[in-house]
Formats: sequence, C-alpha cells, structure tokens
Amino acid sequence: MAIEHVPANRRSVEELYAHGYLTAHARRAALEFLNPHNQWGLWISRLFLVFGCALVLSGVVYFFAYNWNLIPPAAKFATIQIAAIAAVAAACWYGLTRVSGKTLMIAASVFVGVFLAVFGQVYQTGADAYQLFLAWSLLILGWSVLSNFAPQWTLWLAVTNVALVLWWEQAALPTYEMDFLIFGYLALFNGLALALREWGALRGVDWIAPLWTRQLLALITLGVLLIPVLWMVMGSGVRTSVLVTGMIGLIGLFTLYAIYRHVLQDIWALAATVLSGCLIASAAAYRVLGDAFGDFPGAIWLSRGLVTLLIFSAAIVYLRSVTKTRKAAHG
Amino acid sequence: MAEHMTTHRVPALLDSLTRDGHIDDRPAVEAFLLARQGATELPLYMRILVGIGATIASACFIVFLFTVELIDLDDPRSMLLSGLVLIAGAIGLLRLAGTAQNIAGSFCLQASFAAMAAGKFLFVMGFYLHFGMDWTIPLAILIVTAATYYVFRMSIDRFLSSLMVLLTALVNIVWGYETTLPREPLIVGFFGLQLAGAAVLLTFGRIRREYVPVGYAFAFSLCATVLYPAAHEAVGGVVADEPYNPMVMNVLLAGGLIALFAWAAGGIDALKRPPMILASPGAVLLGVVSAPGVMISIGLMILGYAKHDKLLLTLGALLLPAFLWLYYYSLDVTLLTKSLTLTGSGIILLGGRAYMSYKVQSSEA
Repeated sequence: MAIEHVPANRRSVEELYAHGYLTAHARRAALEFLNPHNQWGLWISRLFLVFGCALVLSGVVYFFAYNWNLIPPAAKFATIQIAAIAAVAAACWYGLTRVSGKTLMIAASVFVGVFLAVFGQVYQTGADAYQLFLAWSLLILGWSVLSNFAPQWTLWLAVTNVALVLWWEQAALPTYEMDFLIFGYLALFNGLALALREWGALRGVDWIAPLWTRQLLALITLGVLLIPVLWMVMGSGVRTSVLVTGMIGLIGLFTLYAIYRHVLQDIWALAATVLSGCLIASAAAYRVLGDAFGDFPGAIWLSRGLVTLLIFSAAIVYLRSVTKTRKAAHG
Repeated sequence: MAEHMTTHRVPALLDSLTRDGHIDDRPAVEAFLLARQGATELPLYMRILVGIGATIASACFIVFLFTVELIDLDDPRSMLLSGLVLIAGAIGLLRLAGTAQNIAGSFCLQASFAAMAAGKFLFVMGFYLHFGMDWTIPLAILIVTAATYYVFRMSIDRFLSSLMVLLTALVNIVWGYETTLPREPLIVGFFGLQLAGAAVLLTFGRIRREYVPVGYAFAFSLCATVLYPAAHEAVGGVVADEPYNPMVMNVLLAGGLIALFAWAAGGIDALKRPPMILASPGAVLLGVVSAPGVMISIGLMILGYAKHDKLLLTLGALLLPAFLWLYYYSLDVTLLTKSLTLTGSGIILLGGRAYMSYKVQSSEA
C-alpha cells in the first residue's frame, strides 16, 4: 500500500506516540488536526441533542404505555396536547432552519402518535391498529414536508410502512392467491422514496444528501424486492402474487444494479445489490441441483456448497474489478 | 452523524506536523506507519459478502458430512477429527489463496473461511457432546480460537470466533448453567472484564493491530450483554430467576465514560477546562439515573468519532434504538420506572447541550 492511501486516524497517532515518534505536544497537535476542537464541540452538542430528545420522547411513550389509572383521561389528553403545541411553538420560535427547531418538530410528531394511542386506550374504540398509524401518518405529513429534515422523513416512512402492512393484514384481507402483493406495494412505496431521494440529492438538496438516507432506503427496498424473488425461485407455494411480485422484484433489482453501477456509482449500494443477486443465484442453483441429484443427498449438499462458493467468489472478483475501475477513473 | 467526520490521509497529517516542527525524520515516520498497516485486507463490504457466502457454504458442507455419515452425533470423536481436518484444510487453502485477486484466489479464500467455520463448528460440537457440559462450549471455542489465531490471519474469523467465545460465556452466565456461584457478581464481573478488554484494545496505541478484532468482539459483546436478557424475554423466553441490579454496571460505565472523555480530549488535564468541566459530573449523573444500554451507546459513538471508526459509530447509533425497543419488554422494572430512567437520562444530555451552547455564546460575546 502506498503512503498516499494510508488513512490517518486516532490509531495512527496513538501508535506514533506510543513508539516515541511523537512527543506529547505533537500528539495533541495531531489530534487537533484530526478532530479540531470546534468540530468536536459541534458534534458532541448534536449527539447530546439527538440522544437527549430520543430518550425524553421514549420516556414519554413508556409513561403513557404504563396507562397510569391515577391520572384522569382528560389530564392525559391535556398533557399530550399541550406538549405537542409547545413543541410546535418552540419549533417555530427556533425556526426550521436550525437543528433544534427540526428536532422539536419530530417531538411534536411523536406526541401526535402518543395522543392517538392514548385515545385508543381511553375510549376502546375497537378500531384496527392500522387506522391509528394511517391517521398518524396523514397528520404528520405536512410537518414532514415543511421540515426539510431527513430524520423527520424517516419517522414518517416508518409510520407509513407500518400502516401499509397493518392495513394489508387487517383491512385488505388478501386471499392466499394474492397475499404476496404486499411486497409489491412496499417495494413501490420505498422505491419511490429512494428515487425521490436520489433525484433530490442530484439536484443539490442538501438535507436529503447524507449517505445514510440512501443506505437505509436502499436496504429496505432491496429487502422487500428480494423476498418474493427468492420465494419464486425456490418454487415452493408459487401463486399469482408470488409470480407478479417476483417479476417486479427482478426488474427492481436490475434497475438498482444499473443505477448504482453506472449512474451513481455507489460501491456500498452496488455491493448490497450484488449480494441480493448472489442469494438469488444460490437459491436457483439449490433448486436445480436438488432436482439433478435427487437420489444422492450427499452430492446435492456438496455441490450446493461448492456452487455457493463459486457464486460468491465471482461476486468478489467482480466487485474488486469495479473498485479498481473506479480508482483508476478517479486517478 | 458519520458525515460530520472528516476522512484524512497520512500525507496531510504529516505535512501539518512537519510544518509546525513536530517531526524531524519524516521518512522514518512514514516507514513506521506503512509497516504497521500489515497485509491489505478486503474492504468491509467484501468481508461481509465473504462471510455470508462462507457461512451458507459451511452449512452445506456440514449437512453433506452428516448425510454421507462421515460424522455421527453418537460419535463425538468423528466430529472432533473431522473438525480438525477441516481446520487444517482451511489453513492450507488460505496459504494457497495468497494475495491472488482472480477467481481461483477468491474461491480459495472463500473455501478456506467456509472450511474454518465448518471445522470450528464440528470441533466445538464434538467437544460438547464428549463432555456433555454447557461450559465446554465457550471453552472449546476459546481453545480452537487461540490455536488458530496466529496461523489463520483473517480478521473476520478472528472477530467472529472471539465474539462467539464471549457470547456463549454470556449465555452460560446469564442462565447460571453448571455453577452455584451467585449470578449477579458473575454478570457484573464478566461485564467489567469486557469493558476493560474493549477499553484497552480499542484505545491503547501499543496494542498490535492483530488484536483489534478482539477489541471489536468485546464492544459487540458488551452490547449483547445489555440487550440479551431483554431480548430473550421479548421473544417469549424464560425470564431469568433473579433480575440483576444495573447499578454496579452503571458505576463501571460512568468511570469508563470519564476515562473516555479524558482520552478523547487528549489527557486528564483537559477535563479541568471548560467546556469539559461538566463532563465528569455529567457521567456520574448518568450513572445514577440512566441504564447501561444508553451509556454504552453514548460511549461507542464518542469512541467511534474519536477514532474515525464508522463501524463503532454505527454500532453505537444502532444500539440505542435496539435497546429502547427491547427495554420496553424487560420485565424486571415497571414501565413507569423505565420512563423515569429514560426521561432523566435525556434531560441530563439536553442539559449538557444547553451548557455547551451557553459556553459557546458567552465566549463569542
């Protein structure tokens, strides 16, 4: 490895110091170079804000889940409503351009969910759980649009995904023939979110550009695309909905591959897509080998092991070549 | 939050240090850093791919060995022997793979890891079936890990094997298998051991790089220690007989956080200066109010940021939601107590942030 490619990090500095290449003063200077004082302060401050809010909001959720009988329902409703209004008011006061304001908007969104849950606790309406999540999703959609904040959208996507799955189970009541269509809906919904994310990032929308938003959405989309394809390839219980969603899955996987290989050139997303491809190829091979060596279980398992190694080895070689090409292209 | 972490390369660091007169013999420093890099390993995403492929393949090979009756559950010696043969084969295959980056080299690398995984599994199963005691599982993994650590130089194997030693020991301790010793001191002692191990291996500059996978194993196992009992209850498992009090763990973690703050800030003296002056009391307060999962999560995030280590940073970021999810199902305290614990911890952190903002504003004014 050339020295130009060696990463400089805390470990390098500690090693240099421990072996006498740096004095204590030089070590401090090196650490300041790696993590400047003001950058540390900003980072710690954000960490405390994010963790602090997450913990306080979780505490609130736990508190109302405890369903304390000593507190009258009116007091519960009033407390949550005041908290939600206060959070929105504080968010407006701070402004949605600051992290504090955006975090307060998330707090308000969580309070809306808590309110709906307590409403269900108190009135025992008998409504299905999907209605709660659907209402929650609709009520916080406006704030999500206004917030320009990826964590707020993550909350909205999580709530909406749960609403979709619960609606499928509790209201759509699909037949056995149609039950796999939910994977198609989830793939379309999350795929659309991923497409919007990529479109926004390409057009220079800063708040959507952090890589974790791509990684999260790509993993969810790949997961819901992969399940029906594996089911279809394995050939157990194949029905109309498995075939339809399996085909959607294959098209989706090829699309993601083409985008992350040729357009956006993201090696992590490409590796995740290649991994999905390896799993599908392995599943197909298991089926073929099982049929081919039907009377020889020993041969089936040995060949399955060897084929798996071949498929994954080819994937490694391919990813290495892509990495090399990218490095060469970037000089 | 990883995007707020700048990635640096050695030449830029050395340029800065040379410019300020901190380095006289730059070629020697470069040579030292290059020598410390050791063999180039695959990037993390490829290691994950290798790990998944090899795990599936090793499962196929184990079923194959059972199917052709080369191994038998009633004959532990056949498993021990097959395990040892596979381990030897894995070492040979790794040598054969060398540094070749073609399909043959990659195949040998995968096959080597698959053979090692299958071999270790069979050795441990054989050992367990021969002695028939639960504690022989972590003991067997420890033996086989120590025996292969220096001859099978694959960091993913070192990490996973070390992690399995710790996880199987954890299961035995939590459920009090084959011991009459009181459970609580055992758990706390094990926790303290892991904390010390992670601290030494992940922060000391003199530790050789080949032990880093063990450091990661300690970090992952610490997370498992705070998640496991609640996870077991969440999936409907048996509740442990005596719920343990997290107070001693919190004391250890508060001490660990203070040490981490001092290390990250560059020395113990830094704790006496603003804005770090409230860090130690804050850590003590968290120790009094908070839960171990929250403190480990904060610790891992800070450690990850200080080391520019995205794996630790991600582990810390994922631990918090996982802990909050599983903590809900933990049956040892009421939801009201948990609510107070979480709210109190959150208020302490928000208080810390408010203090930092105040210091920044007053220094600007």
